[in-house]
Amino acid sequence: MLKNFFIQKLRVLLWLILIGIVCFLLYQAIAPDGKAIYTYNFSQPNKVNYFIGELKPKDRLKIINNIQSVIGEPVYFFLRTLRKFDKAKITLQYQNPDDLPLIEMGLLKGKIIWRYDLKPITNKTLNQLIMAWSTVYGANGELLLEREKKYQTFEGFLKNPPPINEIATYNYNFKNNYLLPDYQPTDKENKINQPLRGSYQFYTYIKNEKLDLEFSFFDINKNKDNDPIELNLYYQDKLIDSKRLDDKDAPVDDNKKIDRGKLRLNSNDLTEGVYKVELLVNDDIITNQIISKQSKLSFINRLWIAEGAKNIELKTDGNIVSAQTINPDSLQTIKVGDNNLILDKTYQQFKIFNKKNFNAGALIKLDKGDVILSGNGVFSFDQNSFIEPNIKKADNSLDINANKINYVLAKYQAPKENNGWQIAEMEFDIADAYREKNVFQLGDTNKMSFLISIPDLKMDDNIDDKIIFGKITIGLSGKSLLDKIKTIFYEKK
Amino acid sequence: MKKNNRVLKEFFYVLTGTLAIFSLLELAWPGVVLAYININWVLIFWLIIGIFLLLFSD
Repeated sequence: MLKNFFIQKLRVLLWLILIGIVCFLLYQAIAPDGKAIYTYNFSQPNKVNYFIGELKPKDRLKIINNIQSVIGEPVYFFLRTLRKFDKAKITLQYQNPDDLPLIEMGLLKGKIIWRYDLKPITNKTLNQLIMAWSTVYGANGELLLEREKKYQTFEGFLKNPPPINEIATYNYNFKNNYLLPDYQPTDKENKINQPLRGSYQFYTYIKNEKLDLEFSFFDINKNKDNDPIELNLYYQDKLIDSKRLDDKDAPVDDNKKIDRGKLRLNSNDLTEGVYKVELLVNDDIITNQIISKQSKLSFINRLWIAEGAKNIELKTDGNIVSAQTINPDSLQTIKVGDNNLILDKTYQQFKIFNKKNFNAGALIKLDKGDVILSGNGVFSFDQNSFIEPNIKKADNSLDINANKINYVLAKYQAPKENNGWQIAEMEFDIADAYREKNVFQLGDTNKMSFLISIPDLKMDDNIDDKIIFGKITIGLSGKSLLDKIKTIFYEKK
Repeated sequence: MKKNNRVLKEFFYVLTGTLAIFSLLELAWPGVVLAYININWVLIFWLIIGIFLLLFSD
């Protein structure tokens, strides 16, 4: 009898423990208050964490004195959550023994052009300016740095800004209404006949004219995947028009060139100003020709000139120009202003850093195509079609004094120091982050990809430099269970 | 011995239930269990107890 009582008590206890564990797991997954905190230590990668992944790829990491260091950039990690959250506040400990000037973290927002929303970890240029220049803070933590004190408030600066060429920005979207006072529209048809591979973005300018851009495409079928073509038109960062060409053929990788037809962007009555055109495609799509009635057309930051192009000339205003090729036939010496950029290896990015020519602009000359050109400025095929509405970026590539910058606008918080570690804080909007889709799982996953970019930490530069990343804490916030129930109830009503 | 067997049987039943509930939870909501518990250990304990019961049951 006593034995039976003991067994019954044990049975009840064991099942209660199981119910308790299940309740705990469900509570953690639902996070009824809409908040969750996950931590991980990047310097001790042998400890497995479900929520925050270790740094990858492994060949850019090195164990020194039992501590993992990053010796090449970029490195990636993932964040996995059990439910959707809207914001992620990240606190990251790191050591920067070689005083590398710029470290940024980015959240993947779109996979077609690998678009990352970058936030600062540290920016040496701003750290120095904060100590040397006068600082004014805005209502939302924005920072205005002035060479000589002129503005008393951040809002006062926005109301009555100085000339654009005296301003640099960092992680801040300064809405400047860029206008060309001497611009005259023409009826002349402009053609870009150099084939371009993959995605790109460019600026164009409209004044008392209609927007008319015609693109013709080829599919080179190098990769076995679906190749849709999407063309977007933006004005002041707002999408105002979109065109799409679906891939109706079965995915093949037979290297056969197929004509994919044309897409046309055509709009009347557009306000005067700068418009951004974005082509979202994968690397199988070649833009064979662009015919435009617009006289201004400059490609933003990156351009893949496709195989078959010859004697290409481009103008850029960027002081950093990088080139890369995956085709051994495209190895060559590229002229960038007075300098030579020697492209003598495939799958490696070669860079020229040219402080002097920043304002004057540099002419780039290539003998043959299949080269990916990138930089911190815009690229234009024609001197007359050059347009650069962007404000200069305040980082280590900008010589503040040589460029006569008197004001810097930034959304930036300098890292704090604690026990030999630098501590940086950043906040990401993760509601629209890119999430992987699993074939055998219903709905999206909640796995997001982050990148850590350290532009001066190259593996192949023969410099023995490194960064150590320590503890990372990610505080997530989103809708509480009560808010979610209310939303469902009101939506149904 | 008999008492020990009965205790082990209770553990075996609970672990069987645990495995079933955890598997169903994982199917319905991927990660909900694996984020905190390694099911492999539950399976190992379940197997050990199962083998023990088979060998020493009356």
